[in-house]
Amino acid sequence: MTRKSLTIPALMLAGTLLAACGEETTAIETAEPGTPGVIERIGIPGSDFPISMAVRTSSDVETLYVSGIVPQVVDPDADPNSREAYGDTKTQTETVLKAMEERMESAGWSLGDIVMMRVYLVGDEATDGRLDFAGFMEGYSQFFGTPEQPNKPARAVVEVAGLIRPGWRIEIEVQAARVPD
Amino acid sequence: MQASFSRRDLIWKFSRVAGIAGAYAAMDALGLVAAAEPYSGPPQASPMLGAGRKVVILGAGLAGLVAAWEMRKAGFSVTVLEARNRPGGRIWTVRRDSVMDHVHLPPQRVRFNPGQYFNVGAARIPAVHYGVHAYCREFGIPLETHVNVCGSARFVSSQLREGQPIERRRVENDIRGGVSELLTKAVNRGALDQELTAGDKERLLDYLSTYGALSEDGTYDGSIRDGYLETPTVLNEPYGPPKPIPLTELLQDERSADNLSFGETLFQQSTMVQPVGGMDAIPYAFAAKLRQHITYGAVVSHLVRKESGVRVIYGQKDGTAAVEDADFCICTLPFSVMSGVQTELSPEVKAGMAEFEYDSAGKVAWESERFWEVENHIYGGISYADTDSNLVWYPSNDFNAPRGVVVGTYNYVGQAERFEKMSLQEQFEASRANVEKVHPGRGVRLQKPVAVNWGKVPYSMGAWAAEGPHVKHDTPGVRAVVEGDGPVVFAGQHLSPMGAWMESAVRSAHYAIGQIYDRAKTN
Repeated sequence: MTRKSLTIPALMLAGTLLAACGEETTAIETAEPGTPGVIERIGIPGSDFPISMAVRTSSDVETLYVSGIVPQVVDPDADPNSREAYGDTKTQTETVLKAMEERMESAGWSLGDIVMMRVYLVGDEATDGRLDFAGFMEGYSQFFGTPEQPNKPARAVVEVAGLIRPGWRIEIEVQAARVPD
Repeated sequence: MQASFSRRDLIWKFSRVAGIAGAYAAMDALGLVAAAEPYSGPPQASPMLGAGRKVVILGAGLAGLVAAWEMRKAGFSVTVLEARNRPGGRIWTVRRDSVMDHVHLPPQRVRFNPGQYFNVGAARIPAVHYGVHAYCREFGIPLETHVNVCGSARFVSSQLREGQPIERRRVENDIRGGVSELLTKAVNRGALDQELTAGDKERLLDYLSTYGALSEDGTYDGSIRDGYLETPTVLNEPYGPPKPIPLTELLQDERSADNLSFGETLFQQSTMVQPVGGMDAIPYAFAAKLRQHITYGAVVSHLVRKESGVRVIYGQKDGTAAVEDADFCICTLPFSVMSGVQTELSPEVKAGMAEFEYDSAGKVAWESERFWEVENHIYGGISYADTDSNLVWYPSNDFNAPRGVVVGTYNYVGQAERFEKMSLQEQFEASRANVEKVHPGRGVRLQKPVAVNWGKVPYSMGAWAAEGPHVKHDTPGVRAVVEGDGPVVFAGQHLSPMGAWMESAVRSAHYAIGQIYDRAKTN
C-alpha cells in the first residue's frame, strides 16, 4: 500500500499543551494548529522509554479502534483455561501483539499506526500476585521503539482483578491513526 | 442406440449445461461411476466397532449430523461441536423474530407474519438425491412439491420486446417452433440428405411437426401453447394465440438458453421437492435425536494431533475454553472457516485445504400479497431478468394463500460480490427494482425484506466451494485432504463432485465414516 509520507510542519511553535511528567512541567512542542496530515509522537523528555508522552493528530486523519486482544494458546496439552496453556506474562504479551499485528495488517494497517494503547494485566504468581510489569515490558519492547518499528504509542497499563479466561494475564486494546491516501 | 457415441455425447452436453455436478450425475445415472445400485446407503459397521471409541465432529451442518447419526449406530461415542446456536449450517430457514447475522452488515430481525418462512440456503431437493430422500424417509419428514418451472413465469431482457415481460411459455414455445420450422426447411431443401435416409427424414418431419407445433405446411405460425391473445368465451366466438415472436428476436436474449434449460438439468428436473414448513426440518430432525451429543456455541480454535487421536480446543458461550479429546475427528467446517483455526496437520493436507476457494451468493426475500398468483397465474417457478438480482423465485408452498414469501434476488459470484459491497437498504432497493421490472407496478407491494450475503455469513464464509472449469481437484493437496490425516478426516459439500447440494454433504459424510471404520478396524 502506498501512503503519503507524514507532513513535517516547517514551522514548529511552542504549543500550549502541558503534561505532568515527574516533578517538572514540560511544554510540548507541537505543529501549528490547523496543519493537516499530522501525526506527531511526542517523546518523554530525557528518556528512551518506549512510549510517547502524548500523540497529537490533526483532524483529517483516519482512525482505527481495535477491540481487546487476548492471549493465544501456546501449549495445547494444558488445560485451555490455565495459565500454562498461555505461558507467562511475557509470552502472553508476545502472542497478543503478534495477533494484534495480524489483525491490523489484515485490515491494511500496521502496529506502527498505533497512537494509544491500553493494557490490562492480571496479577501473576511469578511476581507475588502483582502484575508482572517487567515481563510485559520484555514482550512489548520487541514491537515498539525498535529500529524496525520506531513508532511509540501513548499508553496506560493497569492491573485488573481478572479477564474472561482464568489463565489470561493480559488484554490489550488500541487506537490507531493514519493520514488518508 | 450406439452406446459409446451417445453416452459421451450426453455427458458432454450435461457438463455444458449443468457443470461438473451435472456431468457426474449423468455418469452416475448411466452407471459409469457407481455400482448397479444407485444408492447403497451409509457404510455399515457392527455396533461393536465403535465400543470404547470416541469421535469428535466439527460442525452440525448436514455432513456432521449424518456422520454423528450413523456413527452412533456403530457404537461410537460422539460429540458434535457447533459454533452457532442452531443445527443445519447452510441449511437455514428464517421466520418471524429470527436474527440474521453477517460480518459486514447490521443484524436483521425477521419481521414476517407468523407462518411465513424463507429458506435462506438450501431450498430444493431433486428426485435423484437418494441419500437425502432416504433420511427424509427415516425421519418421516413431510415433503411437498417444489416447482422450478412455471409457464406463466416471465422473461425480461432489454434485448427482447423493449424490456417488456414475456411469459415463459411464449419464449419457450416460440423458440421451439422457430427452430423446428428451420430444421424442417433444411430437411425439405435436402440439406441433410447425407445424414438421413428418406425414411429418417419423414420421421423427423413428423416429430418436428408435433414438437414445434408447426402448421400443415411446416411453418410455425404460433400455438395455443403460448397462451391466448383472445380468451375463449363460448362456442363460435373467436379465440387464439398471440402472434409468435420471431426466432431471431428471441435469440437476442443471450441468457435464454441457460434460463430455459435450467429446469432440464438432472438436479433441477421435475419432480423437485421441499420439506413442508421449511428446509430446516431436515437438520432439526437429526438434532432432536442427537440432542445430548451436540454442543452449541462451541467455536473451535485448535485442532491438534495427539499420540493416539486428536485434541480440539474450543471457546464456549461464556468465553472460557474447553477441550475435547477423541480417537477420531471428522472436520466438516468449510475451509474458508478452517483458515482461522490453528491446526497440527500434515503440510500436504494444509496445502490442500488452502487450495479451496469459496464463492459468494446472495438472496433477498420479501413478504407480499400474492399478486403473482392472483394477477399473473404464476404458481411457483422462476422468472428471469437481466439484472444483478437475476430472478424472481416464487413460493411453492400454500398456493392461493393471501400472502407469501417471494425471493426477489438470487445471485452468485460477481453479482453477489457487488451486492456484498452494498448497504442493506441498497440491496433491498435493487431487489425491489428487479421485481418491478418483472411485475411493473407491483414493486411497491413488497414488504419486510431480508438479505443474505453468504460470503459474509459467520461460520460459513461462502455459499459453496467454487466449481467450474477453472477449479482443479486433481492435485496432491486435494488428494491429501480426501485421504485425511491419520485420525482426522474431512466431510462436507466441498468434498463432493456433485456441487452445492445437501446430497453432497450426505455422500461425503458417508465416505468419511467409511474411512474411520477402516481405520478403527486396523487399530
